[in-house]
Amino acid sequence: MMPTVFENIGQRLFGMCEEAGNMVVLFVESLRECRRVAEHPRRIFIQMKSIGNDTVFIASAISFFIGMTLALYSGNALRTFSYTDALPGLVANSIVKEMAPVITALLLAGRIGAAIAAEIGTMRVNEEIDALYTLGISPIRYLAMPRFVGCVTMLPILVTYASFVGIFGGAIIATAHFNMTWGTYFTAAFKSLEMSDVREGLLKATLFGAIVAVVSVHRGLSTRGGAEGVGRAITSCVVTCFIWIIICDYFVARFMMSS
Amino acid sequence: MSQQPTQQPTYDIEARDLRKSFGDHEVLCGVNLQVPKGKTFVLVGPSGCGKSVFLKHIVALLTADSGEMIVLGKDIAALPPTELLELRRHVGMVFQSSALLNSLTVEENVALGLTEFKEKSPEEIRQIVNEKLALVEMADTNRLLPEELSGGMRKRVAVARTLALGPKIILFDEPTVGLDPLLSSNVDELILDLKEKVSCTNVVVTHDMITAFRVADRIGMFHEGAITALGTPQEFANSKEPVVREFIARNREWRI
Repeated sequence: MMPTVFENIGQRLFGMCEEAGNMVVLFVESLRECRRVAEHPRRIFIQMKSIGNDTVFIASAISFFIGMTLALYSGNALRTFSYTDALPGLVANSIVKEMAPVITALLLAGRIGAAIAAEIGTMRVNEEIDALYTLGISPIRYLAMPRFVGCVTMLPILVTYASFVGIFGGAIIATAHFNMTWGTYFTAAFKSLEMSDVREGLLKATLFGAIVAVVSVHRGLSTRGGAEGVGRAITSCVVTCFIWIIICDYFVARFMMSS
Repeated sequence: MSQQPTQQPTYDIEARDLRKSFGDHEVLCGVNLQVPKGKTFVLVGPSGCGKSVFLKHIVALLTADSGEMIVLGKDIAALPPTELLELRRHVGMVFQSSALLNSLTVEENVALGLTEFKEKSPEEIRQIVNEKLALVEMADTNRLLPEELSGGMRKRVAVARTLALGPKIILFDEPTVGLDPLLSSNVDELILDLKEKVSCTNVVVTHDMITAFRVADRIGMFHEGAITALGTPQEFANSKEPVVREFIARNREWRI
């Protein structure tokens, strides 16, 4: 008998709830395994190095151009009100609180998240994950924890770096098009930033790092169906990360504003 | 007549009415099986009949819908995760695809289970690794990557990795599949060698009757999700069971 539309919707919803539950379990287990961080420094260092190496160049380029575009548009808009003095503060706040964390996290999802899903997905279809179980090794400890620690520690570092690069990009436009000196721009930019702004950016970066790690490891571990399945896992990992990062971004902003 | 003390048979693996379904398809339909300690038990049957699914239940990679799987005296469904991981260290499995970690060298693969638990010094681990690699005739391959090995060599390294933990049970999932007759014969000899040198219980899943007759102490025929015939290789060869006769005949035709 063909399932009805309602049955299909119900099954889909049930599947989504189950998947969300599995991700929460994976998050908690990864967090619990973090007490063994000191036992596996090499494995964690390899992850951190790979995340940093693979992301830093693209993060620099993207942040630099976003900083410039942001300064160009907002500078022009502010000029109509003769209020270009506010440009450095606007660029710095937008970059530190929103642009750098979100763009770098999306980049991390596309570059590192996809690679993690592909690596663990391939291990899954080649029975390497099953082999780990039979050796008495928990894949959460062996695979998930180092990647979780790597993403959660490296993303705030990358976001901090990307913020500086983005503000610098804005400075080039501000000095070239809006008659500002380097000194005025940077003094105004850093003066406009409060500790809470930096905290918000770093909180977002940490949360987004956790999202990328958990989603990509989960997608890798639940891969089924050979090479085609690995491809599906990668696509699904990137899309899911993007959605969760944007949703989480809104709620953190709401939370920080209200507090 | 003096009364002899009754000796209870000791089984390393005991399946009781084991059932498993994937969706509407029932793969294991009430499997009952006992594998005595120290023996080599071979499970034969056509491809896709559920042999590998049964094997994965022994090491709890799959959990049954109902029934019991007792391994080394413990009901694995009732074990908490930490005890299950501990039990798995006594049950080695050699996968159909060998399942070596491609990013690690032969030495790192064989040492994997030992390094993870940090119970032995690096020197002791190196010694064990070299000893196990020599046992499977793969000495001096320590630095090679799995992609540099042939199918038969990968199988041997997988066996060495399993042996490194000193298991009480070794499970072989289709050990000769995809190998040419000479390599298949090598793998058969390796299993026979292990029977002599390492005193552990072996369970071999295969559809190759040559392997089955060479290595088995007992053979079980898996058909439509249950064990339909069970006996020594001799009893199995003389079986009147139509499914067994047909399977042996087909195997012979296929070999020719």
